Amino acid sequence: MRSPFFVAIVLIWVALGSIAAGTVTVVDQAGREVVISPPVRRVVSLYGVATMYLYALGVQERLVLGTYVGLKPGSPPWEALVSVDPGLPDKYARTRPSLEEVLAREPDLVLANPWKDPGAAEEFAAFGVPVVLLRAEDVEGIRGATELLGKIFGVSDRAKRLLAYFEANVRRLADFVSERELPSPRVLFVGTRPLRVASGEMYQTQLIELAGGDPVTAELRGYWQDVDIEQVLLWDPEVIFIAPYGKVTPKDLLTDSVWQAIRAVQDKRVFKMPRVFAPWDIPTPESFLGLLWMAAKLHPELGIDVVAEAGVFYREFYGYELPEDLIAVVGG
Amino acid sequence: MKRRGIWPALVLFPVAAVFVSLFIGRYPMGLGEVVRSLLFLGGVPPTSRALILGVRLPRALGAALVGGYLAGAGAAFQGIFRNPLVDSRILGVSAGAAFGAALALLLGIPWYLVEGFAFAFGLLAVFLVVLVARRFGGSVLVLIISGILVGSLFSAFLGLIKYLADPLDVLPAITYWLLGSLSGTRWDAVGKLFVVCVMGAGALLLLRWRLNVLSLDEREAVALGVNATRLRTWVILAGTLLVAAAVSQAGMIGWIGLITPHAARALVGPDHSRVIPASMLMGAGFLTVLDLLSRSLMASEVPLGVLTGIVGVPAFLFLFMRHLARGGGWR
Repeated sequence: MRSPFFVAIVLIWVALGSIAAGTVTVVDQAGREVVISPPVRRVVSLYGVATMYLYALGVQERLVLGTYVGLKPGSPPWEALVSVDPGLPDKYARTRPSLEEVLAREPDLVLANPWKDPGAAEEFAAFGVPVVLLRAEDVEGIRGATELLGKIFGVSDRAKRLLAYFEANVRRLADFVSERELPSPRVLFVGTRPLRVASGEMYQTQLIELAGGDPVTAELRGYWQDVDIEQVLLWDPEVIFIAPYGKVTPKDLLTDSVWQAIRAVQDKRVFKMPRVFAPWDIPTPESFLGLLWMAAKLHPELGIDVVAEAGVFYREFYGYELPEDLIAVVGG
Repeated sequence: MKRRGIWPALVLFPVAAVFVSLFIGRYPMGLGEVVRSLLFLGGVPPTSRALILGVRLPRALGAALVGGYLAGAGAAFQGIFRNPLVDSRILGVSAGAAFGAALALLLGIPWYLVEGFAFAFGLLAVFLVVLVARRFGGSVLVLIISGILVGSLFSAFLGLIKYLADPLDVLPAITYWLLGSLSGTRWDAVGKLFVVCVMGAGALLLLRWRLNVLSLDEREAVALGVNATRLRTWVILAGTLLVAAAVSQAGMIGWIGLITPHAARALVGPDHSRVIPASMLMGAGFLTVLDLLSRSLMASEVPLGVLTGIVGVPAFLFLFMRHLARGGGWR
């Protein structure tokens, strides 16, 4: 029989031990307690969205291997990312790296997403590598992930600044819209095909709402959904946004005979979202700019200068000066 | 088992299905609008006219053609292989076409060439199968084994492509394509389906009399003066043309080619000269109805492959069981 006294001694011993070894216990976004020994110097990210947070927090040099968000070597986003991280070619993983590839980089920590990579935590725990599970898939998740990563990498101040920027924009847009009593235009968000649309449960829909729009697909559940053109005519969106990835262009919709019946096409309010490092509609820090870009398109009367905002954002959080060609993309 | 009046009913089925499709959809339109649009009368809002003539009509016709081709090819394949469990997958056509489309999507080839790739690789797969089979005597068994081998090879390549594809843009395109859909079928697609396949469908309909001979034992066929291997090759090529065209337009729509011929046999008896046209008509009507459901049930489209399974399998299972209960065989 163990006495309470014995248990107390063990607990104190464990606590002292962890202080001596300098470990920190964090609760990740799957609710797991993870023991980490800072400073974390070598991190592997199996979650492309989380990878982008490391860049915004200025700790990209600690990333030793990572997946990205639809990044192709040699593409314009690749060149942009190389200019803030010359080590990119060596750490870029095209697909999810295997257990051995990850272990070969001798990581202190692995970042993963429990939905995309359900087995990751057990897989690496068996080799003594702690795994932090992140879910930066919506506004709440973004807040949690940013704070958590700030704590893990010892850059909490910068994480707070990044979140404050986001919150300030959200508040500013909400105030604008309510003060001026702006109407909410009906918005459709199109993906990699003209008839593939973002559902009501996706981050893109959250962005539309925060930007003062009325997402027509709010009722749709799940992930991307394929719809019939008749349904789009019924929704009759006033503005159409097209995801930055995929081959769909505004011209495809503007020149199609059947789409002519749609208000957004008649008014030529069909826009392809920009991409600098990662696409602006994915829940990475750059989506904070995506929000402003959407608001500028939905409510031109607000006079939001997306180019100026983007210039400040990339300079402050990435130390990156937008080149001319990207300024054209962002302002387009 | 012959029944009077079955042929008019079989012809009426796809025609009625296409006609009804014009009246139903997510976008509310009055009967008058549809009728006036069809008769090219005035007084119809341009949106309604564009929807009926430019979207609903070509899509319904596309569904009918694809359904007819898949079912017709399935009936022909079942006949020449003397096996009720055979459909286009047995010869690797579907796997080849799927690989071709995925390859085109991975390489970022313009979308209008994706169909061409699917078509070419579907033909290539069957060409390989026939080549291998001929090398080893061309018996039905060798043909089926080489079909399974070639099909597996292309499936493995397809898996590799899916593994390499960008999960953000390319992989969804491949997955969508593999699930099968007639969404976005416009007149250009109907034109392609029609032109390419008149040859295939025509050939099958012309050869259908001789197919009965292939269902016999091979030695009996030779005794009747029919070159079984050559006839089989022609039927395979014609069927492949149909399947490759259907798959390249609408993606992988499983199952219709397998079970429709059984239903057709239940209605018109085992004679191939009847089974092939009956299968085509039933497949055409059936896929048109399913596609109508696919686009009008919910705000988002229900994948066609899902519907063919859920709605079709029980319905045809019933038909098939009844046929068996009455003592009918599969031939």
